[in-house]
Amino acid sequence: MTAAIAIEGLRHVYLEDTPQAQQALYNASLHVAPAEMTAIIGPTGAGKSTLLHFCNGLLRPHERGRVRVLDQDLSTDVDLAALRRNVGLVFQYPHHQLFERFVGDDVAYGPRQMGLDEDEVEERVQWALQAVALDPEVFADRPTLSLSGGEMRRAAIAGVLATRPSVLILDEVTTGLDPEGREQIHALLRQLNEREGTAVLFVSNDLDEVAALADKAMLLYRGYTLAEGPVRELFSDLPLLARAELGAPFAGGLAAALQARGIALEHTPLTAAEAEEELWQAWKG
Amino acid sequence: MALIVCEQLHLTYGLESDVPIEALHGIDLTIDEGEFVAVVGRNGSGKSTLARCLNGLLRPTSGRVLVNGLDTALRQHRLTIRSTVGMVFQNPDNQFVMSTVREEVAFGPENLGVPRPELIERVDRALRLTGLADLPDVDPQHLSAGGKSRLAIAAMLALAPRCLVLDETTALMDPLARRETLALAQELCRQGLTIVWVTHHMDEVAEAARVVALDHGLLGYDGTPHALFADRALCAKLGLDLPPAAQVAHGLIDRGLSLDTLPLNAAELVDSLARAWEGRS
Repeated sequence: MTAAIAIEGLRHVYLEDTPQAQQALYNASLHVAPAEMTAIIGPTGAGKSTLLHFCNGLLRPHERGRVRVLDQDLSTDVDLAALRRNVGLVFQYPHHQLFERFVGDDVAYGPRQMGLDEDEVEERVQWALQAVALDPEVFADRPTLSLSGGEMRRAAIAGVLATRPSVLILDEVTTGLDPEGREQIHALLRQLNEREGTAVLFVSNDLDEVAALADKAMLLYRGYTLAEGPVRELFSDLPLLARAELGAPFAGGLAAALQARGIALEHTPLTAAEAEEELWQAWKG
Repeated sequence: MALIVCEQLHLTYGLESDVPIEALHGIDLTIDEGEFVAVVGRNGSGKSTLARCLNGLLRPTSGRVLVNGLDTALRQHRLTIRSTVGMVFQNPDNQFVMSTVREEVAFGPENLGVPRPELIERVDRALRLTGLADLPDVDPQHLSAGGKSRLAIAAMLALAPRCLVLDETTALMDPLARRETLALAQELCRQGLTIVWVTHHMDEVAEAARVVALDHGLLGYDGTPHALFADRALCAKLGLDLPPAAQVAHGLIDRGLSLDTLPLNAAELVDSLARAWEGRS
């Protein structure tokens, strides 16, 4: 398999041929390799969520670009149910995908739909809840509506994990999670990616999160792909990020501000930890 | 002067059910008029529950909450309290009901029977303060994320509140909208409005004058962000990160580079490092 997801020249208009028509994507491209963590960044309204919806067939290309997911051309007549078992999508608002009365049943929904026997379903529910740091003893029997915002997000992620997708897509990966929860989800995604070869694609508004987590990033701006490449490369181009109305990631912005005050770092740091190391090296001279 | 007082505030969800969930276990908290208070804590620590108690959306299971001296448990005070303390949620789409920005802002005070000349004045002022004065006829659904949060804030301002409670309002915003919304809240605070700002972003906490951290439904910290982020053990206990600037500073101090202050944001860190470099040469 060459790429988990390959999108070229994609264009999309919502409510086309109506007075409410709204163009969301003009010329978007995206490449996600199986062994990579890929982030989509861009300001609100850039088309990030729309693009994600093409990746598991919620939206279909109509002769306006190519969408290939797991080596299937999505403009052709593909088995969408099978595709969605392999491509898990966690939505921006977790309460849009929680619908069972109890947390355990909600997480079990996907595996049950796959026709797994109850023992296997139970095993997956336990695993998935533990993976998102919701203790199954405490949470499996909790009413879904009694969860806090951050707990709902974890439950939504668990429900998608339980289907064991080979491509995992997350819209706003850790919004609303506390710092520990964020770190747990980051560790989980890294583990799925590195040990199990799950391709991970996520949207994030937090550039520091992208710096810490992603190998590659795609910068989407007003429906156009402005840049795609290694995060380190993309984040060293502060003028490009500013042009896309994103501001600077902490470490890159810090290095630029220090430079202006006559303190030069040898390499542009990507994270706070790298900034500390670079500063220490510069201090020692 | 105290605007909001919580006395031994307890809140338990589902008292009649098999699994009642205790969200707040006795909070004593006084918020003075004009303060900017950040509220932080783990998921499920009680932040949103506390926020909803501050304007009577939730009433205490025991203990009491007084807003400008009025008890939130008493029905006759409810309207006064709701217009004294306004709430802005994470997803402002959920609170828009009208088809233009101006109508949306006028909706609340009109329903409260505010007389027309004063209504117009309040709406104009709210639009001006939030930078929406040029967009009165725009459909709220067509605003950017930052624009929507400004509209939600404007709609609350038109009720002439003395306090705004913003519950993770910036969570889904891009960096620009996030900075814009925080700057607006700070400006409103400078003009005398009390702000309660619930967040998971430590760089926003660093901008507040006072931080209240909840820990399993109890008060885990109440003080300045500076003293909080200086105490790494306490931050760990409360499940809080350090703002990245403080993280870098602590790391450098541990290695032996002494800084004159603990910086909480990038600008402070740059200043403090520049002084350290100057002192050496």
